[in-house]
Amino acid sequence: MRIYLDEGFRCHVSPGVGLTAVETDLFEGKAPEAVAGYRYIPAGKRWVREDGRVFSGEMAAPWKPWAELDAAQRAYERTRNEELTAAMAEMVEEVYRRDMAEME
Amino acid sequence: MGQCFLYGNGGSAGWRVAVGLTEPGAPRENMLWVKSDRAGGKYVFAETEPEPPPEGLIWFRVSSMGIITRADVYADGAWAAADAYMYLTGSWVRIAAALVYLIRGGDQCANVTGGWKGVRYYWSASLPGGVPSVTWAEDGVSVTASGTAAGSLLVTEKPIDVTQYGALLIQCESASDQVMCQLSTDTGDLFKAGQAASVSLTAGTASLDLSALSGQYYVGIQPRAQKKVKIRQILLK
Repeated sequence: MRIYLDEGFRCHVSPGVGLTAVETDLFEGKAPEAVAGYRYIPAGKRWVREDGRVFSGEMAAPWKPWAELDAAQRAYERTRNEELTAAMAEMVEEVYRRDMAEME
Repeated sequence: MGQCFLYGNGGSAGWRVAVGLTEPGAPRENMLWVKSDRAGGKYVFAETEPEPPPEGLIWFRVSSMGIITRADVYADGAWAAADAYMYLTGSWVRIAAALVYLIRGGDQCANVTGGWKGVRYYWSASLPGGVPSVTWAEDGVSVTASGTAAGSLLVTEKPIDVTQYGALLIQCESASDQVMCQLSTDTGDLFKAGQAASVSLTAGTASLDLSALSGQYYVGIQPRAQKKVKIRQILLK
């Protein structure tokens, strides 16, 4: 998955001015709104927190409150499940129609 | 770490609580000492966060059984964990720690973690992972993933409350590439789905930022296929 990082290693899901594109599989299956609440430090890079503690990559951790990201993720999964269920129902209906047409 | 059983709550129970960075002079039996230069004279025993906390308030977190599990001091608008001791039979016994260990050498820190177990790392139905080889020794734990691509997981039996901690520190003696430490809201085959934060491990100390995380998480070490890691200690700070 391609994401875009700002100077503070905060994730963005779309390209923009001053953002660096990176590839990672750590966010596979995550909602775009949830990904945008993460900080991702690529391997070989370092980030210094306000209190001076140094974090080295590869690391992914939320910078927005987790509850907010978790809610976005759950809503995303609900929508995706509903879409999949609808698509499967349509496929079953289509097969049924075809079978009926052949029988006739 | 010792455990202390308390019955009742609030500051009226007659507990003597001393604060400061050095041991109190003339201690008495059952006296409590909070090692902090930010703590004031007021304290509370409670399961949940007291609101609104005044500056310097000491919060002794107690379980429903009345066991002190942690001591926090409210300073500069935030709670910070502190070491706390009780004077028992003539010596100071630590009953709560500013640092919480999840692995300390060969100690699985079961009072916090519930112990650790090796399980498969379930990536998907087509990549189900396998159970690792796990060896506990005096100086740490060695984990070798199974041969399947998704790899394996060494995970805590219980979720751990990371609220109020700023970082998870993982000290490794050695680590292959593709070994991660991860926090997840779920365990078993749902561990990956509930993944909240992760950091790659190398020889030395890795740090995972917890500043935006609150609540309870399972902590897992995930080496991918046939990768190895030896962990000396894991702690919350």
